[in-house]
Amino acid sequence: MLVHVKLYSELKRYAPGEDNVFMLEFPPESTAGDLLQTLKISEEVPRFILIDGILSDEKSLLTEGCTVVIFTPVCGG
Amino acid sequence: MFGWRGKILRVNLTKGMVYEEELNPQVAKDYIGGRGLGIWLLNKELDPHCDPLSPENIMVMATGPLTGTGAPTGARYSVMTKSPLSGGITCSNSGGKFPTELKRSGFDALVVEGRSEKPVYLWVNDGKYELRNAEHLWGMTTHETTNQLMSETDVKAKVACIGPAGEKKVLFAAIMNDRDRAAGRSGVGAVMGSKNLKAVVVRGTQKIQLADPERFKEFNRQILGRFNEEAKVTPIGLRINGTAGVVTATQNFGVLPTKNWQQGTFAGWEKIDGSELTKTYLLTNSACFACPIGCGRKTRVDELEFAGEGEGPEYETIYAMGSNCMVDNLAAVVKANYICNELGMDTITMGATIGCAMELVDRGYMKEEEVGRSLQWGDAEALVELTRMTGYREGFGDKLAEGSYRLAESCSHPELAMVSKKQEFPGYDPRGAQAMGLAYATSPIGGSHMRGDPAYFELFGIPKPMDRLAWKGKAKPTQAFQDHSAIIDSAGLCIFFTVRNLVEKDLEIAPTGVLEYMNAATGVNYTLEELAEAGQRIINIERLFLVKAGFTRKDDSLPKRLTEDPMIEGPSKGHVCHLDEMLDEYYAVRDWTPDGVPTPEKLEKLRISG
Ligand code: SF4
Repeated sequence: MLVHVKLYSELKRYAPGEDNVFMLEFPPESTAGDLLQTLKISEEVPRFILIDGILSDEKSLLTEGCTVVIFTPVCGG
Repeated sequence: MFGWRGKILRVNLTKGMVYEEELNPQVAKDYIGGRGLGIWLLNKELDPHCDPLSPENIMVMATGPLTGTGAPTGARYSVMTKSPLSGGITCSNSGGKFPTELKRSGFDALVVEGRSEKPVYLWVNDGKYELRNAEHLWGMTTHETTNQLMSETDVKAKVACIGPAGEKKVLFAAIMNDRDRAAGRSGVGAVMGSKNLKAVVVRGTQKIQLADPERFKEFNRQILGRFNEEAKVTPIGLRINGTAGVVTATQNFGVLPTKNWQQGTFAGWEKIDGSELTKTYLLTNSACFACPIGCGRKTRVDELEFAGEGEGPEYETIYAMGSNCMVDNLAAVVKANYICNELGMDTITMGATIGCAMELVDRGYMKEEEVGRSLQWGDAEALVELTRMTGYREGFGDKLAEGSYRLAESCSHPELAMVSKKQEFPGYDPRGAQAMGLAYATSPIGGSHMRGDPAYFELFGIPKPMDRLAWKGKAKPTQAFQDHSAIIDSAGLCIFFTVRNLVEKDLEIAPTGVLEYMNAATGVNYTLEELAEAGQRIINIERLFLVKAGFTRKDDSLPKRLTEDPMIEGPSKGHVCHLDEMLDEYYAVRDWTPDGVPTPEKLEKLRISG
């Protein structure tokens, strides 16, 4: 299945090419953890994973055509 | 007393008198300081029905028991008064160095009453004080005023002052301290202007006595040690990109208010995001007193049209002046922020009011002739020009100076003002962060993220994640966040550090770290229950003041755009904010009546009278 991936803030550098927005192909039943592994984003790297706008974790399942956004956690005021 | 100075300075501007009062130790324990002390005083002495811009209004500037002690981010003070924007109580807080200096000058708080016939400023120098003529300062910007006052008092003095906007009683005028730090919200600067008080200048060298300095030092070592260890693994986002880094999160959750809250995402967001700010205009970061984070942004813009140097912008400014007005020109947003700082205005209400004006024009409810210029979505030049005109109440700026509610109402469309209790919201659309809607509606000061910010749970997962789209079960965590914010504000701490490092990492966020600092500093030996109860006491007495001023459940409201119109696009598409359902649950959790009034039993339990 095809997954849209968007990397922002400090995580842009893990993009496979120049562009921080790209598509990746995964077998069914793949998880966000599999995606992180593919991009070589190790466990220590602080990140937020959003699948279609929902805060998710490594175990969350990817779905056909979903958008996965990964960025450095922040908060503000 | 330890932690507290034990002294309050009364400033009666009508009589031109300044005198000292003792701080009652029981009041200090029950209300902590800062915001709590301020509301205790106002509840006792201020007529809730008074005109906020009349001499009857009282303005309290109060530090907390941890301000200036060296506790991390113990840098803050609060300004409490009746707000000319909302007509209710307000509390606006700020950091920098002024609050610490005020406390070191010998006082926990200043209580300003009456109105001076001529402009004056208050000069407090290590326990001595006097009112001085300020006619030569009237009309000066906040930066000019600060420079002038440092040169005529002491180069090491710290200044909190108003600019032209406060003098002209712009309803959202701010009090600026240390040049670019703002007690920004609800028009506290207009109240100061109405009193003809241009500035408060402080110089203090007196050390703050701690009850148990060893225990305090040891705890500080532990907390900062842990903080520094963690920072080695996880770079501090707030230091790198400031609060401006939040744009990435709100955009991708679909809660970045755009086009006067018609949308939750903005196509041009990457041009106004924190990492872009870091790349383009950031000179260096800056920190308040005793802050290990340093989220402040010292910036400079060289583009001719928008050239300037100063501090900011924060995330809230970027949403209000950027996405909300569909302006993707970061230089213009930074410039409008500089103008707000120099003229002394709140950037949130300023941007939100211009966004509202843009929609009024777009829908044909207001003519561009009335504005005196073109006013289209995304017009960077209009943003900067109208901001300046507002600070001086020039032309159409005179209308903008009244805030978005009064502007939209004058066009017979008050529903287009994105406000609660007539105060504009910070930048988190509650259709995609439900508890935030409840926090806005029940905040005592109207739209605010500083009176309780459950977006920390819902969007940032700090200290623990919570489903952002669910509305059931949101009352309890919202109440917890509000109560603990009251404690944090009153103690004189900054929420950014505290919520990550000094509370339990669950949805109840029990302030165990704050408790340890409080006890080491004051020697009062609070239990956790007593401290939590103090937070509740502050919230309830604020509510009591609002009830007396005539506020009811109908004022705990959100515009129907947020509760009835589903979000039209983005990751929060299809959702509305379920305020009514959450309100019932919330009043029950608070032991308030279904109309939002604290019960006599509740007030008695918290030992609140009046
Ligand atoms: S985190 Fe930012 S606002 Fe808070 S005390 Fe530090 S510099 Fe000031």
